[in-house]
Amino acid sequence: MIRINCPVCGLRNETEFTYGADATVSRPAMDENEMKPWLDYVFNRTNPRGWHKEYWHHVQGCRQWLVLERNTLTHEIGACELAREVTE
Amino acid sequence: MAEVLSPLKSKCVAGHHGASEKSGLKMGTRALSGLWQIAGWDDFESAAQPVLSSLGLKDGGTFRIAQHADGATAWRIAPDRILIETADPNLENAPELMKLDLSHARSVITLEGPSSRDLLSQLVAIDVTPMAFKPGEFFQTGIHHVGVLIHCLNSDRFDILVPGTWASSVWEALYENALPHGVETLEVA
Amino acid sequence: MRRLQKGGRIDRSKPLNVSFEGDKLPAFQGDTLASAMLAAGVSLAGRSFKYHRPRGIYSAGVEEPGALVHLREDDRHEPNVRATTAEAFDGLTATAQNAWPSLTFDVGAVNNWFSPFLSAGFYYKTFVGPFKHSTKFWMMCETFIRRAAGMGRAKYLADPDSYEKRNAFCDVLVIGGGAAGLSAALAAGRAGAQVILVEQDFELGGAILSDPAESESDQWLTKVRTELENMDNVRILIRTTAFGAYDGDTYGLIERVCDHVKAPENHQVRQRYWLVHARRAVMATGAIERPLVFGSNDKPGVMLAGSARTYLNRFAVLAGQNVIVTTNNNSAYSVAADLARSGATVTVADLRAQVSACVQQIATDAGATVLVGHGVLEAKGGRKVAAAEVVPVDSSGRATGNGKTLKADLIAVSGGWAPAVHLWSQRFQKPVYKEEGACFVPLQDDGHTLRSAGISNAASDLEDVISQGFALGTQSAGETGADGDIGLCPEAFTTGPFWQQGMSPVWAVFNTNGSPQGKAFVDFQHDVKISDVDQAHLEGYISVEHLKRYTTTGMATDQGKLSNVNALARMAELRRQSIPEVGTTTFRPPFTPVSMGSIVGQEHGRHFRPTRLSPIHQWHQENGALMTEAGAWMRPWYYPQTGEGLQDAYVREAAHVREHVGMIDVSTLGKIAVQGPDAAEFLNRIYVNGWKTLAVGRLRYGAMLREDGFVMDDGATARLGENDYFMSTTTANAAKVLAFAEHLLQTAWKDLKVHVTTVTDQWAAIAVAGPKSRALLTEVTGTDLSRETVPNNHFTHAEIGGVGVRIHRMSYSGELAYEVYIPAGYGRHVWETLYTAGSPFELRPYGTEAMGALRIEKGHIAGPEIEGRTTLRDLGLEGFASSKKPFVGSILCKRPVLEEASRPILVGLEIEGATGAKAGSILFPNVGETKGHGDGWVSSTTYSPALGKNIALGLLKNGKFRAGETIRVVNFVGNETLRAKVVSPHFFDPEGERQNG
Repeated sequence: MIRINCPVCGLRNETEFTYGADATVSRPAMDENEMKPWLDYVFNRTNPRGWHKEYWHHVQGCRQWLVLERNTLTHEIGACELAREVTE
Repeated sequence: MAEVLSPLKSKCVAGHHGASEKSGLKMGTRALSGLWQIAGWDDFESAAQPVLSSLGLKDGGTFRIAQHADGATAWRIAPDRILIETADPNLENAPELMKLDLSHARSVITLEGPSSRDLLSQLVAIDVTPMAFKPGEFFQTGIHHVGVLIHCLNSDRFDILVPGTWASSVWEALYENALPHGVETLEVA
Repeated sequence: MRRLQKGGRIDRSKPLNVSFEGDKLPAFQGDTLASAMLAAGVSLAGRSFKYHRPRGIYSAGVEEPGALVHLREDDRHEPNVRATTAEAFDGLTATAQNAWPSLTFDVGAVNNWFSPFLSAGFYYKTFVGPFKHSTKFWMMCETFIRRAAGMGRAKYLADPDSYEKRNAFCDVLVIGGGAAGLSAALAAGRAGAQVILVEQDFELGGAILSDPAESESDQWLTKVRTELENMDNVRILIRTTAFGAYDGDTYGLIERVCDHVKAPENHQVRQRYWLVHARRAVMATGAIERPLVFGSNDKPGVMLAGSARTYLNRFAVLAGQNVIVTTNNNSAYSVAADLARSGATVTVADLRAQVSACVQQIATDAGATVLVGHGVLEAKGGRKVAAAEVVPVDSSGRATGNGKTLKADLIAVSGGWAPAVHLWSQRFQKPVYKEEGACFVPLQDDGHTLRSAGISNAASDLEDVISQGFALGTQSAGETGADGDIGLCPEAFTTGPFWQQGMSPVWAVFNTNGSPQGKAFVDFQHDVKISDVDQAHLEGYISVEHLKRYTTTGMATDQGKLSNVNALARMAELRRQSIPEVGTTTFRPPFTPVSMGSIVGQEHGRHFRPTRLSPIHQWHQENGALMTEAGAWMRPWYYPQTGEGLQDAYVREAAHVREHVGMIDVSTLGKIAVQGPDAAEFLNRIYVNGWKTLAVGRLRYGAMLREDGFVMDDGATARLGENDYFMSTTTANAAKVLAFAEHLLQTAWKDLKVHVTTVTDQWAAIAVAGPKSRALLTEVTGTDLSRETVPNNHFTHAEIGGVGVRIHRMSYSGELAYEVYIPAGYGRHVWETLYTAGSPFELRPYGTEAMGALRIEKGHIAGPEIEGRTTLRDLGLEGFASSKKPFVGSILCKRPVLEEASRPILVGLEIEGATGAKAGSILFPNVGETKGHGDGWVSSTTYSPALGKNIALGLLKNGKFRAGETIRVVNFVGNETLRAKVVSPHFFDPEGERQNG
């Protein structure tokens, strides 16, 4: 059971959330005209072993999108931030 | 003007159900006086303050504790959103603040009785024991896969705000789980 | 009768009616089914899995491999119940399983003679067989084998009982109510932590319950239990198994609330599934005794030594009169002594060459005989033990000379003990081997939130057990911030030789040739013999994981609780390695089997998932609508008139809309409030078409793409105010669109000042469609709805029945049509007002089937066309896409593969003949083979009342250029081929004169 410490709602079970996407890729700017950055954004993933960042959506809570650190090797859960507060 | 029809009307028929000689719970509904969402951006709290003040609310509360005043309750449901129950349909206008009428979007399931916390623990994956869920506090969580807001009114009384189209299903989930405790369903007030 | 006149922990004043195989067994409150069977002299409990060999009662606990029975009858019938843990209750009925036609005459027992063919790897070898062209013959054999080799049978009846789930949170979870667990709970409770103590038995005490009643240990137990029961912060759950330890410090427990009564009464649940979040957990799960391997060691009458003592001291049942106790450690000496004192003739056959005099004296003082350096080579007898062949053995268990046959009706065995490390191992890793005691134990790690104490942690003596428990309880509570006065640790009581003392690692007895005598079993439940382990080794299966799967040892309901170490020890011996080098398999949940009902809880049948109801739902039901599921929603499918089926009803409803006026509940449409100064920019980005010019009071159709360029959804959005838009989505995609919009706004588009909020629940919606819709609405609202005032794609505010509503002019049916948006609580009132007022206009309600027919006639796309593989161009919507601005998917929709001219595109199909096409049918040219993927597929299909023929929408390669061509529509599932003419998807009123009228 993944337990996620939502910055708004507190520590909650994964059953309240849905997984969204890889949070280490950033969306190209709207006016990006090249195909490659969009292909990378949509399709290309690194699949890291160890610590990783993921988007999770607190759908049965505050409906905020979160950036969660998760260890793909040990399944440990690390820090969790509001996606809107993450600065790249 | 026509009467507002609660999606729980057919459920709220007075009667005793489930375990005999036990009355652990009372389930019913109440009408919302009016429900609004105010939402903003960067300086949300200052933008929201005039609306809150006009309703007698000190502020918008915290993510955990509702703010209450005579005739108005505020729940801080997200960093830039506050849900307000108020009968006043003419909320103050403020720049950079969006108002949204949700008066028909939620139904309230009222829960009362010594078994109410046990019942919640059957359906809600959060700690609802008296130490962890005190009067005045609220949680946004899921019941039967539906996002709800549970407000603790006192030691064994709770309001559950449920999206109206799901209300009947959430009621049934609560009801089925309540039968071992003995449950009294209350007529619509 | 083997029941003693006194002693035990049963309540002789409360006799119970218990029956096995129709025979009444004398039983009392406090018995298990197994103790009642033993007391009645029932030796044969069941038949084994593969060879149908007779099986007796081997243990007194969860490790039981043999005495698996069918419990209860009819719809409460339950298979694979361990008689050893089934609490006796009044009215208990049990029958044997895996035996046909009867337990004593079992046809399947011939498998025993064929056993050379059923050895290790049988399934693998047989079913991959050399039968290149057909496996039919073997499939037939498999059916027979699976029927013969099997466990209990479930019934095809619905479970009448209810189950519930509980979420619980605590500081310290203590698993196990024996001396260690009680001490841990005591310390944590005194410190002030919130404690949950779970015990799988129906009484607290653990191994103490196997000591003679009213001995010193009972006083200890009473004192500690009383103190715990009086603590408000300690919740004690008996009859509760902690079956799984999971990430996030989450534990799964099953509380058997009403398994100990005939049927739950007064709405009580049968079982309760606890999901516990514990900041710290103490695992005090004790140990399980290990068997010894010798010939016919599975015969009824062979039993774990400690279990024989449990039956004696807890249940007052003397399991045998002539007892051979055979052991490799000291713990069995208490067993020998207690049995001898109760009147049995006892001989101890100790595999060890040397046993200290004081240990021997424990047995001899009680009148037992001790044979040092001896083991049992083979159990003798027919369906149960009648004698034992006892031989002198060397240190490896090999016979060194001729033996003697001793009369015996009970062979009590002890091969040492295996700490119950399951939960710890589930949570963290494989356990580590400890030479002293020759057992696997948890690794000590203070960083772990689940730690072990007592015998499950290989404590050396009782004092160690208690102090380990107390210390870990204190530490665990302290780590959660509970630091109250813990007082003194309870003192130990006197006890017999401890669980692993003096243990010599020898587990099997062989004849002088070094072979087992006859069939010597490692896994009793799956009939795995020591020779099967040898064979697996010979065939090269040397990894323990392969060994397990090849021989199936440890794979039955007992999950290797008894067999694990003996199988490993044999493999180690064969590989000339140590046990730790060979390693162990991984422990996985559940510790003991868990019923489906308890996991499901109340979420089954109608409550399998939540149901969503329109605010007008009740009216549809009251007025005879047949409902259909649309995602979580229930929607009116059609409103049959007397005698009408689906076909007649929807054709009538659809035709009625084209001729008069109809109304349909469209409250299920997704509705999203889009608010904020940047709302127009947001819409401009998320929709393919432009939004900057939409004026207040108007609405516009829009399509949106996914990031990868495929079509995601479509719908209309109205501009209600300067910064206030009202977006509608399809019923199916509402949640997806909202989550996607939220994601963009909270990540990539943080610069946009926009809020999106679902208002699906706030608004009921009714579509009023048909040539008379304007006249009807004008009369009901008294508002000017003329073409000039409210043209297509405009909205206006009005009142219906005193309720303020918003009327959008737009059409899905292709008729002159409006959508009326009403605050949800007034939805039914407005519907009824319209319905009444509509009578002069021939207004009729219509359902989703007629709606589908109308939109297909118009070539409007819906879910079957927006199915994730179609582009704007595929659906003929490329004209909507703006070339002046970027939008979501605007680059990736131009991927060359998506722009290939030959891609299937939306076409209309006029089906020849009286039969309609089936959605999903494959399209092929009129001649040639019908193989492969064809030229496309049928997406939506209907009978068109307007055209008087069957039509369909489909996606067809080069569809644009194939108008007029006749093609074949092949339904491979129904084995049916139709012919169809390719036409424009806009079958009806292609110019849109009716909707713009």
